[in-house]
Amino acid sequence: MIAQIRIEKLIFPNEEKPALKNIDFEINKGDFIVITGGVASGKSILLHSITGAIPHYYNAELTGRVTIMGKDIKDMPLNKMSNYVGYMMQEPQNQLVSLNVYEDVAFGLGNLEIPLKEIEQKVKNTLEFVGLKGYENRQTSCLSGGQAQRVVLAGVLALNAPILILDQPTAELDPQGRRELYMRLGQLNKLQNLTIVLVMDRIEEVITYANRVFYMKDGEIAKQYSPKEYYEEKNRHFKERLKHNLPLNAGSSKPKEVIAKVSNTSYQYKNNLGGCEDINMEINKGDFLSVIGLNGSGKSTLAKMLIGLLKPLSGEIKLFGQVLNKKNLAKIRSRTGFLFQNPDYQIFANTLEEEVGFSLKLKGEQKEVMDKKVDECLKFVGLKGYKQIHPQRLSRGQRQLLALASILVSDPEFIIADEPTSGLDENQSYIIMDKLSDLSRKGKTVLIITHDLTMAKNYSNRLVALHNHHIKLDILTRDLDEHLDTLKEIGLNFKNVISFEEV
Amino acid sequence: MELSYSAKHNEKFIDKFDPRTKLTWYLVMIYYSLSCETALKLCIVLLVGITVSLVLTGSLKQYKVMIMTMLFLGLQMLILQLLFCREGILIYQWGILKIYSEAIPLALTGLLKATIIVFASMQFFTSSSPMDFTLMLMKFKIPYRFAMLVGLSIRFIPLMKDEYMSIIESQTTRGLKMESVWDNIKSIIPTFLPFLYRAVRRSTEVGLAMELRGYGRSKTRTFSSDLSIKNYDIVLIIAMFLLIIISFVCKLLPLAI
Repeated sequence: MIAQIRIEKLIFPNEEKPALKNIDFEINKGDFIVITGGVASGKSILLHSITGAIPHYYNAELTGRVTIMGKDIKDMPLNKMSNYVGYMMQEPQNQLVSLNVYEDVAFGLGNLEIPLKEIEQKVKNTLEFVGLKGYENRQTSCLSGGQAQRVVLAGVLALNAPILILDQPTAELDPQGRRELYMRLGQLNKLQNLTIVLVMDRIEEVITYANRVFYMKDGEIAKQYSPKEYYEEKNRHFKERLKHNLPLNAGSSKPKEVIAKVSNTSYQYKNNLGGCEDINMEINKGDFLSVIGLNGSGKSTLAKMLIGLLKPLSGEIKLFGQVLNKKNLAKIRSRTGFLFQNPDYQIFANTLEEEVGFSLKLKGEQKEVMDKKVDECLKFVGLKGYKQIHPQRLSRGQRQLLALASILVSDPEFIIADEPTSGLDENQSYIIMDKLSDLSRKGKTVLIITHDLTMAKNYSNRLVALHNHHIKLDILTRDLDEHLDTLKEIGLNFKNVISFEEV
Repeated sequence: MELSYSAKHNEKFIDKFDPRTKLTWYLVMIYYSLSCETALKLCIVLLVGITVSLVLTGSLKQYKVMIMTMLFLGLQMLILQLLFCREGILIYQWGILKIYSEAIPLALTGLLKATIIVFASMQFFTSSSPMDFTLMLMKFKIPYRFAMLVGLSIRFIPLMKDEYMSIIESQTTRGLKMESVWDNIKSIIPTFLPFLYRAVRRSTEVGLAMELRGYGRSKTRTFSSDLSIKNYDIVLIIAMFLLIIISFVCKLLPLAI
């Protein structure tokens, strides 16, 4: 049997420190392969090599041999790869090329010169399969993250390629969205015998559908596992972590010194798009609070109101005893740090050192103090060795760490982080959460918005669950078991989440 | 954007016309804005343009921003003409400042010409969907690889706008002040560079995503609609070209004689 994907002695680029080296594997028809690994381990570059983006799109020499269904990718033009491979990249909005959903799904089919009648039928069937029946006339710019992801998937699936390759397909999805997508991929794999290669940093949820796991490190496939072996090794790591790090905030309740008070606060976006309605909550000093909820439930709106980026239409927000208004805004922000979900919204400098030092420079800090703090923060996030390189040369995960360092350098008392572990692998995520937990123990207040229920359960002392723009639950994490059913009803299933305590 | 969308659903009278008819009308307006030399003639041309727009779309709402912009531009043109125009007779002098009689008519005709051009451009570009533009360009024998770029650029405008706003929000939370004009000038680098990096990254990914879905693999592709020019479009196009030719000949004839 000819392997669908065969890679032999792949090295890329042919330099002293290649991003990919010694890659050798075969993927057969019907395989469901999950590739995981650390930050900048070469996962995305490996996918680029399989799809032919390297060497055709990114002009660089590829040493070794990559064959798809027996054909060398070096001899296949990129725009004919759709006969063999459907490729879905990380950011869905960058892959939606048309103004409405119908045109977007039909885009690839049109390029294949398929008759219009056939295109119409295929678009209809594919949209139905991804759960977007009736979305044909929706504008692509108005889709939510999850919907956009499904439209991209529909566009790729419509081409009927025998191999599907996905790079971090659920990075922006909530637990329910992730579950649905993985279920669909599982169906495609089992029912249509579609070969799937999927790269993901956190793979607990997808692993049940996979038959092999590749773990990448420093550009190599360091280990191949069966899903069972991977689970066992993961549990071993959990236990080891427990020996060294007896955390966490889960069992504790903090002394009550209120640093933020939100009273009867509401916000609504233009065109009647929901924001937050009638929010009442208090945040105590030293709290490690996780705000959870499905996409569009109002989590980011709440965080943006807390930092003064959105002005509530009604109600009042007090931070550090002061009402959040235009007059107090600068003073309050100087004591608060906000980490955006997408690190690229803030990175502009030529070096990591300059980037991290930016807010200190704005404050007029002295150079010696600045250098010391920048070094400390870069060391804290594990990027000290890259101090002088250009931030755009870092991987997505590393840029996320850089953004975190840029926030922590100002030593904020209240840290708000929108998906702080997005784009990070499991180990890196734990490192970040451990650091945030340390800061919380030292009296800093941490509020994270997260879709990662494992992290929320293991690190927070409080959970605030939003549903349809309202607070549905505001509980101490130690009381979580009493509310599992309520949380499941709003799409937040904690029942399969592994906690340190259980391990 | 809204107009483009409504155009796709044939909701307005203007949507019944072929984009080539709209393009010819656009050329007529440009021709008259450049060839008319008096304020009165230019006012008539502008009035005709506005009436056509009102009749065909039923509203002038979309020109609100344009009117404000043109008033601001007109004020600047007036100041420049008052300061530097040296035609006509001197009507006022204060130190080195001299105002001549031709300053105001020149500012007025300049403003009217600019307004007609901007108005006609808006009229043309908001009256057809990006798909119609693409199909029109293909009728002019432009390869679809290039013709489709029009729709692609329109697709990313709202996304880029939202992203720029998020970048500003991100930098202000880091302490960047954006309260005065000077603050805004100083903040160009920390706000524009992330925007630029994102744009470069996006264009690379968009290009790759398109190629991997077969973009450009053949000389033609299947589109979900096609342009078919109607008889009334042909009559209108011929009439408009005749109008331009006659007007042009009339302008040249006295010289020839």
